[in-house]
Amino acid sequence: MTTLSMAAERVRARSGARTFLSRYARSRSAVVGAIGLLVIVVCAVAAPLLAPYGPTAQSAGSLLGPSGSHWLGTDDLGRDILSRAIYGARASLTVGCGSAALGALIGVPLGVVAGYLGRWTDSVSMRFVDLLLAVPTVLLALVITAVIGASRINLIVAIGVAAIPQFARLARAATLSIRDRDFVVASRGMGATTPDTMFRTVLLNLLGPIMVQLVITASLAVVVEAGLSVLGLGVPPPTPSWGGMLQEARGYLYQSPTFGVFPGLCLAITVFCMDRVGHGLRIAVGVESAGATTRAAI
Amino acid sequence: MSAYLLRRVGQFLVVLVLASIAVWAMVYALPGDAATVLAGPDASGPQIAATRARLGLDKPVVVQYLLWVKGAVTGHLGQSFYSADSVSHTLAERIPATVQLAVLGMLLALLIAIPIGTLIALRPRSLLARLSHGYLTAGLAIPSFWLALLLIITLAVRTHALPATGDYVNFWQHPVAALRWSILPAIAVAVHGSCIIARFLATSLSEVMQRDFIRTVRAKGVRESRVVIRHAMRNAALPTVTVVGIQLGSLLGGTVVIEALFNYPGLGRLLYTSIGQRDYAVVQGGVLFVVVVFLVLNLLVDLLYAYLDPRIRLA
Repeated sequence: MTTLSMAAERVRARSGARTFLSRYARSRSAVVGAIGLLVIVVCAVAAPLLAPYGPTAQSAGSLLGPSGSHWLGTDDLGRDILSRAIYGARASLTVGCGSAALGALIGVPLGVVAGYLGRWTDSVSMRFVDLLLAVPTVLLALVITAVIGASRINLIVAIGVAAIPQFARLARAATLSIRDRDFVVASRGMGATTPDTMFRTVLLNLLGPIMVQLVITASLAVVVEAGLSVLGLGVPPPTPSWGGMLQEARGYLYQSPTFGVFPGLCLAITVFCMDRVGHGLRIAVGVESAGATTRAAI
Repeated sequence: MSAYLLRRVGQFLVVLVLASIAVWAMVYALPGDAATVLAGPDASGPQIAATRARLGLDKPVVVQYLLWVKGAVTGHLGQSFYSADSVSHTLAERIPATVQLAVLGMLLALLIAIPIGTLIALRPRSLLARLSHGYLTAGLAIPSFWLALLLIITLAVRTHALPATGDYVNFWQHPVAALRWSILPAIAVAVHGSCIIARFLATSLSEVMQRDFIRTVRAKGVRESRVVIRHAMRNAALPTVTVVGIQLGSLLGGTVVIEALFNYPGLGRLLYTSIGQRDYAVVQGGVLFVVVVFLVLNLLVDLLYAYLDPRIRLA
C-alpha cells in the first residue's frame, strides 16, 4: 500500500513537471529565451575556458578594430573586448540575480504578513513600501551606494532594497486573494499557528507568481547595475562589466564607434532572454500578469 | 467619494512625513559630517564647532528636523556646500530643464505608444502589428543609455546631424533650438516608456473590445471608428493613465544616466554630481523635490482614476 501510494506520488510529481514544461514550451520565444539565458550563464561560469584572453590582459594595440586575433577589437587599454564581454556576464548576472533574490527575501515575507494580518500591520508595511517606491530606482541605488560605497555586494544591497516594493505588493495582493479560501481556513481550523499558516500554506501557493517576478526583477536589476556602471558607480575596475565597458567606450566614440556597440548588445540580449523566460513561466504557472513592470527601468 | 478621498489623502500625508524624515536622516547616514566638510580640511576643532553651531547641528535632533521642515515648506533648503548659491536657487535653475525633457519625452512616448497599442489590439494579425511587436520587444530589451550611445554614434558622431550633447534652451523662446538640443535625450527616454505604455494599452484595449457592451454598441449600428474612440478607448484608457503617471513621475525624478550621458543640465545630473562632491545640502533638497513630485503625481493619478471610474469612489 505504501509502495503503491509512493509510486502514485512519483507519477504525479513527474506529470506535474511535465505539464509545467509542456506549458512553458507552448511559447516558442520563451524556449529561445531559456536557451539564450543558458548560454549566457555558461559564459559567466566558464569564462576562463571560453574567453580567448584574460579579462585584464593587455595586447600590443589599443582601440583596434575587429581582426582575426581580436574578433571584436580591443579597448582603450588594449584589452580584448570579446574576452571582457564574456567575463562581464559575471557582474551582470550576480548583481541582477542577487538583488532580485534580496528583494524577494525581504519583500515577500513583508507582503505575506501585511496581507494576512491586515489592520495596522498592513498599513505600516504598505506605507514603508510607498516610501521606497517614491524614490526612482537609480536615484535610490545611487544614494545607497554613496552611503555604503561601491562593491559587488553593496550593489546587490542597493538594487535589492529598491526591488522590495514589487515583491511586497505582489505577495500582499496574492495573500489577500487566498487568505479566506477553504484550504487556508482548514489549515487554521486544524490548529496550525499563524506563522505556520502564513509561511507554509499561504507562501507555498504564491511560489508561481513570485518565480515570475524574480525573473522580471532580475532583468530590471541587470539594467540598473549597468546604468550605475555607466555613471562610474558600478563594480569597481578593472573587473569587467557591460555597463563599465560602455562607460569606457563613451570617451572614444569618435575613434572607435564599435567599442560601444557590443557590450550594449550583450545587455539587450540578456534582458530580452530574461523577459521571454518570465513570459514562459507566466504561462507555465498560469499567472495572468504578475506585477507588471510599470516602473521605468532607467 | 469623500471616504475614499480622505483615506487616500491621509495615506499621502503619512508617506510625505515619512519621506521627509527619511530624506532628512539620509544625510546623517552619508559618510563625512556636514560641518567638517563645510569648514574645510584644515579647520581646527573650535572652527568646526562654530560651523556646527551656525548650521544648527548642535541642537537636539527633533528640533533640527522641525527647523529643516519649516525651511523646506517656506522654500529655504539651506546653502550649497560648494557654490555660493542657495539650494533652492540651484534647484530652481535645473528643474525647468528636467521638466522640459520629461514632457518632451512623454509626448514622444505617447505619440509612439497610442497608435502602436491601438493597432496591436484591433488588428493583431496584420503585418504592421507584427512589426510593432518587434518594436516592443526591442524597445523593452534595449537599455535607454545604450540607445543614447547608439544615437550619439549614428546621428551625432557619424553624420553630424545633431549635437552629441544635450543642452537646455527654453522651448517657448527658441522652439527650434530647444528641440535640436534636447531631441536625442528625449528619444532615448521615450522609447522604453513608449513600449511599456503601448503594451498596457494593447492589453486593456483588446480586453475591452471583447466585452458585452461593445457588442451592444455595435448592434445598435454605431460606426466602428466611433465604437473604438467613444466606447472602447475610454474604458481602456483607465489602467493606462496609471502607467503614464508613474512613467512621468520617474522622468521628472530626473533620468540620471541619460542626463549624465548627454551632459544635459537637469536635476538628474545635478544630483549625480552633488553626490560625487558630497554636497549633501543639494542632494537632500533635490531628493526631497523628486519624492514630493512623485507622491503628488501618484495622488493626482489616483484621484483622477476615482473621478473617471465611479466603481472606485463608491466602493
